[in-house]
This record gives sequence, C-alpha cells and structure tokens, in this order.
Amino acid sequence: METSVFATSLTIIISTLLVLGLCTAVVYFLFLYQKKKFRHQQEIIEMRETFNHVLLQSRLAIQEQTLDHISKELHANFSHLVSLININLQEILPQAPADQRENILETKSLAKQLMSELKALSANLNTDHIIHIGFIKALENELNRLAKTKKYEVVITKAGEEYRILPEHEIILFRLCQEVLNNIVKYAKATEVTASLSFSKEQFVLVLADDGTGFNVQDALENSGEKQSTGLLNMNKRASLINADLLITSRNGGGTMVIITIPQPQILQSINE
Amino acid sequence: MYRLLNHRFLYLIPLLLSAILSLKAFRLKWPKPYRLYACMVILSLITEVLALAWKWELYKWGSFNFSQNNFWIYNCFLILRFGLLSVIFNLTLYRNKLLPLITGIIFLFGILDYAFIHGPFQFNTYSMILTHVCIITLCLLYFWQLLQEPGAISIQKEPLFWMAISIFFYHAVSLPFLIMLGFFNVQDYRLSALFFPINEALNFLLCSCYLISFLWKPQYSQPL
Repeated sequence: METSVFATSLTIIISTLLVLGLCTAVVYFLFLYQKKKFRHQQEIIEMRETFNHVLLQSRLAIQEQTLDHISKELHANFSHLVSLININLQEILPQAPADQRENILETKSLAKQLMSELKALSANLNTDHIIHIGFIKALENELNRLAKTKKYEVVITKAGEEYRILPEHEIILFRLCQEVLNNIVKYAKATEVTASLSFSKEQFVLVLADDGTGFNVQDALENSGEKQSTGLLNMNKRASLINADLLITSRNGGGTMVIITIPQPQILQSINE
Repeated sequence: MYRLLNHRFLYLIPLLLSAILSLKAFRLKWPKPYRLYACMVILSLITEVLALAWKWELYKWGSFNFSQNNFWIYNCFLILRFGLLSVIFNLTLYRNKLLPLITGIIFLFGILDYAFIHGPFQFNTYSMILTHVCIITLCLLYFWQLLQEPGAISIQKEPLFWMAISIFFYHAVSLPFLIMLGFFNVQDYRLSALFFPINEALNFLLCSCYLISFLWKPQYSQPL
C-alpha cells in the first residue's frame, strides 16, 4: 500500500512538472514569435521611413528643378521681352507728342523696375545662383527685399566665424527660410523682422523672429489637415532632411520665433578663408 | 502574527506588493480591463487575509462560535474572480457573442454549486473544473489574438499578458489535479495532501507574475 501511494505521488509530481513544462513551452514560443514579429515590424517601419525620406528628397529635387526652370525662363524669356518693351519705348519717345512723353517715361521706369524685380526673383529661384552666392548672402538678399518694401524693419545679427555647409543643405535651409519669410509677409502683420545667425563648430543656429500677431502652433498643426495647409509640415520635413531641429514658438499677439538648429554641421569652408 | 512566518504564506509578499502597485491603475486612469484586473488582485489579497483571519480568530468572534472551515470564503472568491476574469477577457478579446453567453452560464452554475450542489463549506469541484477549463480557453484565445494581431506590442511589458501567463500556468497545472481530487480523496488522503505544496508553489508564481505585471504599463499596438 505504501509503495502504491509513493508511486502515485511520484506520478502526480512528474505529471504536474510535465504540464508545467508544456505551459512554459507554449509561453516561450509565444514570446519568441512575438519578438520576431516585433522585430519584423520595426524593420518595416524603418524601411517605410527610409522610403518616405527618399520620396521627399526626390520631391524636393523635382521642385528645385522646376524652380530652376522657371528662373531660367524668367531670366531668358521674360527679361528679354521687357528689354524689347524698353527699346520700343525708347524709339517711340522722340516721335511722341509732348503731352504723352511723361507717360512713356513713366512706363519706361516701370519696365525698368519690372526688369530688376524679375532679375531678383530669377536669382532667388535659381539653385545654381544660391549655391554660388551661398546661403547667408541669399538670405540677406531675401531680407533686403523685405526691407525695400518699407513695411518691415529688418535686423540681421551674426555671431561666430561664418562658414558654409553642404550646398544641398544650404538650398533646403534657404527654402525653409523662404517659407518662414513668406508666412511673415502673408499672415504675421509684423513691422520688425529679426534674423540672428550663430556659427560654431558644434552647431549652427538661425533664429527668425517677428513682432506680428502670432498664432497657436499646436492648433495650426492639428488643423493643417482641415485647412489643407502644408506649410508647417513642409518646414518640419525640410528640417528633418538636413537633420536640423525646428522649433516654432508663438503666441497670439506676441510674435513668432522660428529657431533652426543644425547640430554638428558639415562645414565645407570658412567664409573668411 | 508569528504564524505568518512560514513558507506557506510566502506568496502573500508578492500579493501584497502587487495589490499596492495595482492602485496606480486607478490613479493613472488605465483602461477598464486593467482597472478590473487591479480589482481582482486587491480582491485576492482581501480574500487571503479574510480566510486566514477566519481560520485563526474570526470564527469564534464575540459570543459566536462558527465552523473554522474557511472554504466558504475561497469558494465565493473563486466565483467572483471568474466573473472578473470573464469581463476582463470579454473586454480584451475581439467581439464574440458566444463568449459572454458561455462565461455567463458558467458563472451562474458556480453560484448554483456554491448555494445548492456542493454548498459553501465544501470544495466546489464541479464549478472549479468548469471555470478552470473556461479560463484556460480564454487565456489561449488571448494568446491566439496576440499572434493574429496585425500590429505588434512589446508583450513582456504588457500587464494583461503577465496576468494571462500567471492564470494560465496556475489553472492549467492545477486542473488535472482538481479533476482527480475526488478520486484521491477516496483512495488515500495523503495523495490529496500533495495538492497543498503544488498549490503553494503555483500561488507564489501567480502572485509574482501579478507583481511583475504592475511594474509595466499598458502597451498599445503599433499599426503597420
């Protein structure tokens, strides 16, 4: 009888351990499968991010090409037409009656103004030109254009030794700044625009600030889908392309400040060299 | 108090700690299944304390002298725990009309067993076997759902996964023993007594998993 109880107890313990082992195996395989699935999903997410990155780069490249084409058209075709208008006016002027001369001179002056605006616009759209003169000069030109309108007081400050970064990064950075300045012109109702550039080996910081009406950044980002406005999203995407941190701080009635920071910028050359 | 200093009550340490940690489910407003899970852990602790207190002191409280048998507390707890687990799984698993019906019928049978068939002072083996089978099935359905989900979560950080593991282990391992318990009782009481150390080890494992689960927070599936 004792042997029988002992044998049954042993059987119970062994079968309990077996069931325990079986349960452990079930859970172990579940862990293993889920871990594999998790890793696979991470890979898919990474692949998707890479794909989106490439897609964005191609989109921007196409955009740049289009802008370049428009710039060349403006320079070659439109400028040529304005020049012709100017020559024609020059020819008409001596034969024109005295009372119309003033109007013709006025039209000539307007044509000249149009010519210079076209040139400036063409230069701003031309990628090669921006690469040639560099981001800082291009940004200064943009700000000077704003100042010329006499609607804005423009202040530019620089700190540290100026340098140039990768040309493709400069283009993206410049387009980003154009977007910011465009927003200032369109929405801010500002009277003062400040640009501060800080150069150091560790980071490049650009701050564009205005004293305009400001806006709620969170609301603007959340409602961008409804309003079909992609400005802020585009800015963020452009910044991510050059590994820059984009920070927009604004409040209603308190102006807006856009801070673009490029940590460890790939410095090509110092401007003073 | 010195009576608690015994390896048989070792499981009370992780249970107490998990009950304390489970309070964060309410404080941090975790989703409903997690809060119900926290309720279940707290209920487990209350039951254990009440059952021990009954066995040691409460049965002869005041001028009354009840039976020292505390099975009525455990039986009642097992039905309530099954009810809570059913609701948790019904909220977590994909909508299925049959599931609440089956668990509801088993829950009602548990009440019947408690009140009429076995009565509160005997081990309610019929309803226990049924609830064990049902809980094991619910756990397996939960694991199946985890495998089928299009998104993936870090399961080792998911409180409900740890809960499912713990109750799956506890119920799956103790079920064969429970089925044979009546037979062992007839054959030799020493065979039935073997259940106590096994239950003790499983209880410790169960409560440790409860504790681990509340060290994490709910995970949300990352859509693809």
